[in-house]
Amino acid sequence: MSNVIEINNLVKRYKELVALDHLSLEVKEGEIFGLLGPNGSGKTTTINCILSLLTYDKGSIKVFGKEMTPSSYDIKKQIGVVMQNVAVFNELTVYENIDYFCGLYITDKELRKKYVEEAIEFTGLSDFKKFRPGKLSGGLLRRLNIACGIAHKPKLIFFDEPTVAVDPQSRNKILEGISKLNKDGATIIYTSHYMEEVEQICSRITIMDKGRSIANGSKDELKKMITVTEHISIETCNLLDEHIKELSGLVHVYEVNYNDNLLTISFSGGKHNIVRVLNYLQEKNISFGRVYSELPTLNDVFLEITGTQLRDSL
Amino acid sequence: MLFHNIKYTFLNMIRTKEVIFWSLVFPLALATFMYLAFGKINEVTENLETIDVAVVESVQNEMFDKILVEVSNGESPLLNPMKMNIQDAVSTLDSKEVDGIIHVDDTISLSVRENGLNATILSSFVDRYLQNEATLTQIAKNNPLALNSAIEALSDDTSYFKEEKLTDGNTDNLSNYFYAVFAMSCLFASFTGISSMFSIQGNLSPLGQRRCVAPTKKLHVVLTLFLTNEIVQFAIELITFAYMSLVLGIDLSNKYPALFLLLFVASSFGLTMGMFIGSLKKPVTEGAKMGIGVAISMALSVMADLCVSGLMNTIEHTVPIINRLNPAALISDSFYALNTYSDYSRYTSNMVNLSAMTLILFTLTILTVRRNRYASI
Repeated sequence: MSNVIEINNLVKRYKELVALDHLSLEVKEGEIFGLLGPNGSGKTTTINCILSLLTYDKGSIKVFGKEMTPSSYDIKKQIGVVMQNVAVFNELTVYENIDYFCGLYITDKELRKKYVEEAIEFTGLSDFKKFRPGKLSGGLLRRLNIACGIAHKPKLIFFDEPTVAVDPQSRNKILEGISKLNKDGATIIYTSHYMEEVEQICSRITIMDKGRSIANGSKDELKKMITVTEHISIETCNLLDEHIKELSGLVHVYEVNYNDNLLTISFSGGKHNIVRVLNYLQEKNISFGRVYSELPTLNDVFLEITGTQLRDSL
Repeated sequence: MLFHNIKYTFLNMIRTKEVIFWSLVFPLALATFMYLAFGKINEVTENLETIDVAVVESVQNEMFDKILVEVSNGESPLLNPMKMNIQDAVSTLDSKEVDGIIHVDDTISLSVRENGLNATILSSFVDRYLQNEATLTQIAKNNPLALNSAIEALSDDTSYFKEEKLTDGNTDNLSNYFYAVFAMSCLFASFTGISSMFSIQGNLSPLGQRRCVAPTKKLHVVLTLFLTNEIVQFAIELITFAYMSLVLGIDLSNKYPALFLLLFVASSFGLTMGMFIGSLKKPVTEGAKMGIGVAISMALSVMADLCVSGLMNTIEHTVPIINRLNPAALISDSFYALNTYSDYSRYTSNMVNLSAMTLILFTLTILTVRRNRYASI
């Protein structure tokens, strides 16, 4: 698959602050590419540089194989952008807003009408066509923002944190919609600081921190980069220090924590880890309650690479 | 695409209440206020009532009799003299049926009960007679036939200056206030200009970002905004004109083609000034840019006689270049020139200045925003 976006050694400074520090990445045609990182990690700056909204100090950006500039109208025609902030006209109705923005790309009136109707249908705004944005809920407003960005059926779509301040129901609909757009042939760039969302829909992910790409690959590839392979949490009480010490000595155990009657053990590899732990507790006549086993998350990847929790950095 | 853009920009604009208020309602309200305050000032005339006066003759004075006849005739006579004896005269004065008693004796004297306008007029009348009595006596002696005309001349206010009108136009100074209101109204178009520039610049608004990533040339976008805003603004100026001339009855000239061209160019200037302010990199908030727009519009309008009549004239005599560069003064003066002079040279000169400034600001705006990549968003 060909590269839709190629970024090489991109450097962007805001006076003393280095917002993008020699960032390089590639986005392949047809994938949902996730940019994951805490607020201020450089995700939006990266998108704004790609879109030629921001100047940058060093590096190069190619979109569809061509250098991207403010006057690259042939490239811009193939791009859709769903901004982080809702960008619509407050005095125009839902239909008028979508029609206006679609009209910036599609000049054929009949085709545009068809596309606008499809975008309204796609975002579930059919009952709100004549509503002005001020009358819409936060979730519906986000959906209108999306409709305005995708109505012209672009080949490359940027979603910059589209689910911020959105209720779970609307969030799921938005994520389903993005997956559908991808299935219909669009390449998606998706930024978020919600790792669950990125894990759910992205086929390839770059984790960013302080303007740098700190890890890149599919979610499975990223998880393989780290030592921890499993977390087991067990509700138990009356655990002594010697028990903690003995548990730490079990095979594949990487780390043991015991706080507030919750025993948490991290493993680096191995199978049937949970069986070994439960056997130990039974041998020692230690009663226990609920037991959880979790695979590592992108937060673990971020934690191990940067030394801080992704959530702590927000 | 141009029509598509104009259509939606137009819809968005006319539905924005703030635009309608500042561009239309405020100038109309100000014009109405000024009309109520000054508009009728020239129509006020003082209608003096005929003064009743008792005349007590102790001796016969033929010349004074003639004077009394002269001032008691006509549509609005000055005096209503009533001859009576002294007792009746005092009685009528006490009962305020007359404002004074003129005693005709060896000389002419006056008695009044209280001071007031009528007493002052009677006193002036008697004083004036006494000052001219010797002259009239001389005329009666030497040329009795001329006595009547001499008396007529005495009873009239004679001016030795002849008023010559240089034009058939309106030379009412109060019109300057309304010209200045129009100038201010046109400069207030700058608010819509500022606001619209916010919606196309990526570093100033999310809408600007969305428009910047669209495959549309900035020249096209700016031109669309200008045309749409100008249509609305020109319509607003026409409504303001119709209101001021038809409803308030203010004489703003009837040279309609030239007048409409003036309104078009003037509103274009206001709009372009706003677009230029809106395109500046600093300040970055809409409120701050609006503040600049308001301050400039008001300052220029005040210098064009909005609040202080004669200020523009003072500037013309001290630093005339300011009036050539002040768009409000050019607009106001164009109204004045149209309404006062029969030839168009002064109007044309103002229009050329205003159009040139509009073109310069529009070009600067385009140069500022075209192909812009921003240092920060």
